[in-house]
Amino acid sequence: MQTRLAQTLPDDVLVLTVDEFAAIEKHYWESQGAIGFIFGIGVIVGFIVGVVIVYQILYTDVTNHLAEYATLKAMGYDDRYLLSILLQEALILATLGYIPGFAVAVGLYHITYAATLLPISMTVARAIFVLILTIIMCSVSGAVAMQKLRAVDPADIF
Amino acid sequence: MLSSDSQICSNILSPIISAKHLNHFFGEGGLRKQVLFDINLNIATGEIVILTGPSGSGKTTLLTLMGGLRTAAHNPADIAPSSLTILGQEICGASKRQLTQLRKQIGYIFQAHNLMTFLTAKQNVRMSLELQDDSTESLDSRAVTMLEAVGLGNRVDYYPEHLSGGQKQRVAIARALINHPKIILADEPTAALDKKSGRDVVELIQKLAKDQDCTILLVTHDNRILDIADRILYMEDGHLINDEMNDRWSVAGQQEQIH
Repeated sequence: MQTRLAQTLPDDVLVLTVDEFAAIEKHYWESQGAIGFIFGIGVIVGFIVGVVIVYQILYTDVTNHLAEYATLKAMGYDDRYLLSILLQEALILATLGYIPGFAVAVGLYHITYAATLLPISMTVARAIFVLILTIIMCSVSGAVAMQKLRAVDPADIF
Repeated sequence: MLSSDSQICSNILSPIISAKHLNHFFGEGGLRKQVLFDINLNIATGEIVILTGPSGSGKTTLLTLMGGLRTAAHNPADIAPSSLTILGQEICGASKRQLTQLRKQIGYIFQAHNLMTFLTAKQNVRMSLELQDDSTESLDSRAVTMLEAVGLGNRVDYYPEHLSGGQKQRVAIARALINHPKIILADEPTAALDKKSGRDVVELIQKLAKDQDCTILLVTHDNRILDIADRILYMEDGHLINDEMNDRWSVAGQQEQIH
């Protein structure tokens, strides 16, 4: 039916099914419209803010336990072991932050739909993408906070 | 007679810690300050050595150097080359990895206990055990046995905040000694303790160390415990000013009893 219509109508008329139309609209808003670009920047800024905040948390935690880390170093634990502690902490932060974040996002989608009738819903792809980003973000923060740990001198606790 | 002399000779010739012309500086460039001046000493296996002196004399710095907690620097070319050997490992110019490996064979008892506040006494002692690659089943029982040896058998599952100063120090001793290290370093172990607890702690260290035949290095201001030492080193302003054993060391093979 689509091909028959396309043949009978002039060339400057596009004939699309509902699905194809939706795809073209989505693509337009995401890549050409200003709104899609702003959303993209929003994701990037959110990522950077996340890295900074998680780094802040890890750095403060390392500083608060400096004597204990120095004791471990004095006993003979190497930097790799301490780094693994820090990364585990970063991953726990990632998981504990993701779950409420997911819940809030779903809640916000419902509120947005109620307020603007704009149908937003959570997709599995998006959920997984954000999870991976969260894990990367926390690992980066952990690796940067490791610099503080490397500088800990076991001789200072004497 | 002859065999004991040769044993004394071999002890002199292969000390467990040996420092020659050791100098140490803090700071860089214009702010560089020398804290240790031409330290020469030898410490034999099984000796109990006390390092004492006024504050700022450099004794804690020397202790941290002798414990592999700091890298020692080489001397400038115009003076005799420095050397610091601990358990056969040369410290002058050693890499961080070599120092970390060395530290696994040394036990540390700090002034401020430095126990992990979020671990029980037993778990704190286990932290030492987990440095060695052992099976998990025996770790718990070995930790408990060690805690019983220091008199804390009924406190194995207590957190440090529920232990007294003397008890915390005993946990620290258990943690330091459980791996049977060759050298024990203690910095002011009796500083925050009353006379009886302090005495108990020091005698405990001495007894356990004698059982395991390990060398003890103690830094202390405490005059009450000076009698447990085989040897007392006095430091002042970065110089070793009195070491009654030094003359005997300098002549190898001398036929004198060292006690």
